[in-house]
Amino acid sequence: MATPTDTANAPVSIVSAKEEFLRRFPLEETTLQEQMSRLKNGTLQELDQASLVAQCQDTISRMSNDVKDASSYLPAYDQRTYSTAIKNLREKLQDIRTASAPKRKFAFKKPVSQRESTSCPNDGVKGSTIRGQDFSRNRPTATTSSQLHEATVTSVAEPRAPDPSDSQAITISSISYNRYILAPSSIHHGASAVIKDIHHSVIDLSTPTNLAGTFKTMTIRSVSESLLLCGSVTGAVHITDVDHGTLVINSRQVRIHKCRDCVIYLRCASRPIIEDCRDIRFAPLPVVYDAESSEFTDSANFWDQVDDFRWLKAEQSPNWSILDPDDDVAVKSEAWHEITVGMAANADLDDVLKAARVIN
Amino acid sequence: MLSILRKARLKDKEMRILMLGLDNAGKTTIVKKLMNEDVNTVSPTLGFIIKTIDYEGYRLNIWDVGGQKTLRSYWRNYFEKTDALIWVVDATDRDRISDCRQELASLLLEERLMGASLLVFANKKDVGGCMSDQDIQEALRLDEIKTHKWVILGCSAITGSHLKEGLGWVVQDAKDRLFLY
Repeated sequence: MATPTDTANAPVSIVSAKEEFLRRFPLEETTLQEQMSRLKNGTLQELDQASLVAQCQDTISRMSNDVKDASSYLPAYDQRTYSTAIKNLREKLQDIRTASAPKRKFAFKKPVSQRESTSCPNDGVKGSTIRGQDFSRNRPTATTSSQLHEATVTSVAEPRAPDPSDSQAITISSISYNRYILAPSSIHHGASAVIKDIHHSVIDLSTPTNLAGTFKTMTIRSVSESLLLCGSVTGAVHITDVDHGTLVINSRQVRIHKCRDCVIYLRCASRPIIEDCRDIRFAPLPVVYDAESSEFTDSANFWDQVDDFRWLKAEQSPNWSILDPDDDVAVKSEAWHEITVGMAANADLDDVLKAARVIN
Repeated sequence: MLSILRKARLKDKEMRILMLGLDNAGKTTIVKKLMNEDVNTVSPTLGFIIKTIDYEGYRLNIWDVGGQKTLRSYWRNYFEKTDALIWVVDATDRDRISDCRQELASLLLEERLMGASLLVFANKKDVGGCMSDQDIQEALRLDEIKTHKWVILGCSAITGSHLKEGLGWVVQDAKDRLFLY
């Protein structure tokens, strides 16, 4: 592995930190290579093996940080060389791990017994992906129309245990004519969530976020005719392409793009923005979802001060308005209570969508 | 001619830094954090914000231009006299990383940005499950960039990690160029 130790052509302003780095990096790299070849030989006891792997991991992350720190004084070319070196080390260690590691015992649990979960596959690289789930078998009261469509819901077999360290990105995608409640055990504090390709469904992430912490970021994309209970998000919620949806959001920042005909129940600690949207109505966050533990409770709430990037005039934008509480689509606070109770009690999908005024 | 002007300004220890990136990358939050301002009430940027930061004896004029689609066509109004370009990437946004690559690639074709060094900030590293610097380097095809001197640095605008290091690189790079010309 080529590691440039050549300091001859370094810039004139040599910092001592730089010399220290250039001296230490190749040393650490050599040590690592030695340790990894010991691992590869497989002569060690299982426990020693595991601790040496952990040690290598630590060294690599420290070296990686060193390279990052060195970015202020290293030329770009050298930095790339060092990053490549670290990348190679990482890959090598990963190979050793997959080759020798015993099967992981960690398993994804779905504690809610009323629902049957068929999937929690992991792409093996980053994050756990949760796809559409088929709950039809234990829903005796399903309406005819949704039964027709439930046949098209993909159930994914082959659940694999996700790597706990990587399972912090949650993807909920490809759900139609269905309900989805995120189990509290499948969320980690500080996770990012992606919700996409949802049609005629209810997605409820509100319970776990109130109980077990909050999401750091959330992306919502390609949703139609659905109710999304998004829980609370400490960072930004980025929404694209929602058609005829009702969203309940408690977050620091909200960005809404290419949406049509939506009602957004919102608490937002900064000014929300819309771009390329029409018929967006905003309403305050229902009390039921305004958790007392919410970290936004004390901060300012800008839910009704929306900026439209497509309407930079002083007059009110025609693309959004404040929802009149007496409007037909407005959901009363008692109804929100019923919706939360209904979701917990496994109520009929269309009843929930009707209660949320998503469908008539 | 341009390089002479640029050098003159660098000798005055003043730099113009243009901060761009897709919407929701965290550009304004990065600037606010560097200025020790409150990052919790940052609203999406309508237009642009200019901030001056004194760093290691340099005056850094940071132009933070909004990243919404509507505003991207106005980016070119800010290209003139740019010494360094900071491209901010949301490391959690896998879906739009190819948009991000295209926007960056078209920027780097701009004649008025020639000679500006490129710092890629891979932001939101505090969020679990985000892309690694390597992933982003590959997705943005940074290794194919031959026209600009570049570096990629993972950072977090919320915790403030590696933000100063990024500015440090920008300043160091300016110093190096002073010796070069």
